[in-house]
Amino acid sequence: MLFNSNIFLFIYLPIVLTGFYVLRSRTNVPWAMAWLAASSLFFYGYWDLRFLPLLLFSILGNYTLSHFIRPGKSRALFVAAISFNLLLLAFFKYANFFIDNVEELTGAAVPLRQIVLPVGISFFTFTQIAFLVDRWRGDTAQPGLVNYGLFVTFFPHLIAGPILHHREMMSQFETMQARSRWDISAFNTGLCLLAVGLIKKVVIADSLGSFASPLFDRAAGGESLEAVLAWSAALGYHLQIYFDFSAYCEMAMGLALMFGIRFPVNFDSPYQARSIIDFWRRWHMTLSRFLRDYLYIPLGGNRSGPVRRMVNLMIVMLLGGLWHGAAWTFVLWGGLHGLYLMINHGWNRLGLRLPWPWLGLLLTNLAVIIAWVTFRAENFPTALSIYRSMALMNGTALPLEARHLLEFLGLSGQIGYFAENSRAAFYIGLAWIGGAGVLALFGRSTLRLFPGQSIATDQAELERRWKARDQETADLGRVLGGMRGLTASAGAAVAIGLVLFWSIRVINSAPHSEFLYFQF
Amino acid sequence: MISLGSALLGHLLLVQAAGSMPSVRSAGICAMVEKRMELARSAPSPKLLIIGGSGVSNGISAGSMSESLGVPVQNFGLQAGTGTGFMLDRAKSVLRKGDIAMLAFEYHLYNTKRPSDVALDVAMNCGRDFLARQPLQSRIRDALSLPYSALFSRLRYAIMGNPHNEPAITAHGDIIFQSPRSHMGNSDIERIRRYKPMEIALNPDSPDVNEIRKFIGWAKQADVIVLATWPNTLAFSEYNKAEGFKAIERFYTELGVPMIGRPADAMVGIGLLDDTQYHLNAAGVATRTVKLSAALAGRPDVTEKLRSPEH
Repeated sequence: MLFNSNIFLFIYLPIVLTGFYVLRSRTNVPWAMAWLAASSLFFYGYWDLRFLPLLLFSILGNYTLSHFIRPGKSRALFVAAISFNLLLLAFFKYANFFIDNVEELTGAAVPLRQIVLPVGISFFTFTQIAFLVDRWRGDTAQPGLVNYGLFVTFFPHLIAGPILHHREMMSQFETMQARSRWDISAFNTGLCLLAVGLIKKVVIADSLGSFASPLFDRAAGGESLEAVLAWSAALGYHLQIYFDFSAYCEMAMGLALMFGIRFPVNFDSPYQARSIIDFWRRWHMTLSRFLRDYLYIPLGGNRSGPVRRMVNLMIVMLLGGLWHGAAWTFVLWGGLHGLYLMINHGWNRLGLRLPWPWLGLLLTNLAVIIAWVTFRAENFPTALSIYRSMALMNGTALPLEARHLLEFLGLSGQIGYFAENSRAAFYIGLAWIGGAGVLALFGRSTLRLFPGQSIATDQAELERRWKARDQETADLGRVLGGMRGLTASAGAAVAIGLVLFWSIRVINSAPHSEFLYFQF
Repeated sequence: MISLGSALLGHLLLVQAAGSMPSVRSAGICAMVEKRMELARSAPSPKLLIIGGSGVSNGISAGSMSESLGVPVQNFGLQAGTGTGFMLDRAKSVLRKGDIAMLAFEYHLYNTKRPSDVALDVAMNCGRDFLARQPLQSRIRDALSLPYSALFSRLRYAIMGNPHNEPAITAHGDIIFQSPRSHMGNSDIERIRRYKPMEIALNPDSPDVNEIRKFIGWAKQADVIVLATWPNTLAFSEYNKAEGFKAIERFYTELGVPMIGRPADAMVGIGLLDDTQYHLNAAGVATRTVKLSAALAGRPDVTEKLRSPEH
């Protein structure tokens, strides 16, 4: 069940919301929480009923094991519990990849095949590993089964994150028991976030995807793209994944808020970052937090000297890449980001500074675009073909429509031309890239449209960051940031209704489209 | 919520009020659809009905085929944008027991994900019976997704009428060419010379492919023989290696539908195109028709069936 589907928006969500609020007001909170957990299991089972037992097995297995883990003791049990999660993930996500590589290396045929990836397994496994680690560290008490189950399965985050930390969720579940009034303000803000996320997904991200995907497919089919097309494909995907993931994160936050539950922020205008270090503080923030707390720091972090720090960074990014998908292209993507981070840290260590702040923005985006090509390409040869085209190694032809301009400039004899079969679609795609690029580079984060409202678990930290950023970058981020107090006026309420209506029309006129992060 | 509800209600009322009116686009297509249906109904049976989009309408001469094979042949080329569901539904109403339906759908119809705007626009005008037979969920989607351009086009039609002249067609349903030469100017030819090959693929989950599957099932019940052939398209050497043709052929073969001719029979150079990659000029139509007739002549089992009225 997709967030951007009729069945979710018109049937599932209204029923779950009604049931939750009726149960919370008429009976008591535990029943409401149980309803929410059961609804979330239904949501998961609706994807593929075969994997519901796996999710339940994972939850019950981890919950039972966590009962017996004593802080600082029962090391063997703790190791067994972590291994249990890693083995599940390894089997369902990486077995095919492993077998493919064994076959490639040895030439032998391994009979085991057709292991289907259960949706969301990377997310619910990481969420529970963090819980187990903290349980062993003594940082958390044992919750009740219903609250634990809801923490893992709560449908807004179950499929594609954010990767929640039990501390920030359990406290909310427990606080909710003392609260009985309906938080209308949070509900309205949640609805706004849902509406904005829907528009971002179905209008912007999907339009960019329908432009970029055929270009990547053509490269995968062996066509050497013209440089203009290769850059268009790379930029199209750069912006598609931005708006797709941003949309998902906002919809997840919005949906949770409609139940009065706050999530941590997962996405904070990452293409406005002026360095790769900054980029990773803004992109998939809960994954960065998980990798920092449960991998980078245990590996030694920056405590063992600069060389070890670089090695640790590279390990974290390579594993982060592999987490996204069982393919060497993802590993390379992680490796590229590891390399970028190493260069960035080295640069900072030398105390160097760029002469103009916008150059940092440009270089960061360029580095990210280059890495996304590998991330999106089906395989290395496809990525290599696109890189060759981007590097002008497959010619420098321009669209036929540029001929008159080049003739006017006296350059027509030096440059070739190409024609896209569907001229209108090509130029509409370029227009989407231009518009979406301006929004990504200069638009203010949607989360800042609700001043004075608590919408995230890490609100205070974020506001501190935003304030510091505003002082530092007065030229950026404010160009399109004039919309304040969005939920405060009646006009805004009408606008949100119309935005939802627009989204519903687009949902019904386009093919179903999953969020890109669902495949991870 | 009130504004969302009002917008939804207003939209549905607008669709209900304006839906049955013709739009500029649907008026032209519907006139052609109804004319071809009328001609096909009055044609003698058993007949060969060549079904497809404008690639059939502007690419095959049913009259010439009829003459060379000595059997009744009707051109039932409608508009690819209306989708295979609509085209085949209209075909069902003119096919009789013993007839032969030859499918020549444009390549992109084997790989669609959603019905096009044209499909809904046209069906709301001259296919309301077809729409009424669709599942409720599909009808809701259709009503919600109707583009406003289609509604404005209805208003334009109501004020201005149909600005396009309907092309004249023969009793076999063939377009009568006003000029034997191509409509393409030099700049169009220059563009098409730079075109890249299309992606030829078959998506088994495509709604259009599913409609073809359902039609073949219906034809078996109705004692209508189904054949398939390749649509006209611009030739590219890369097509020699394309796997999509095999996938399309396999799809039909698995359903017990023989393929007539080879993909290359329907591929032409720029000089034989009229305006798009699927439309041929008079010389192109003649060339394509000769090849298709020859391929059918090589299937005496088919032509004999058309010659035996007792079938």
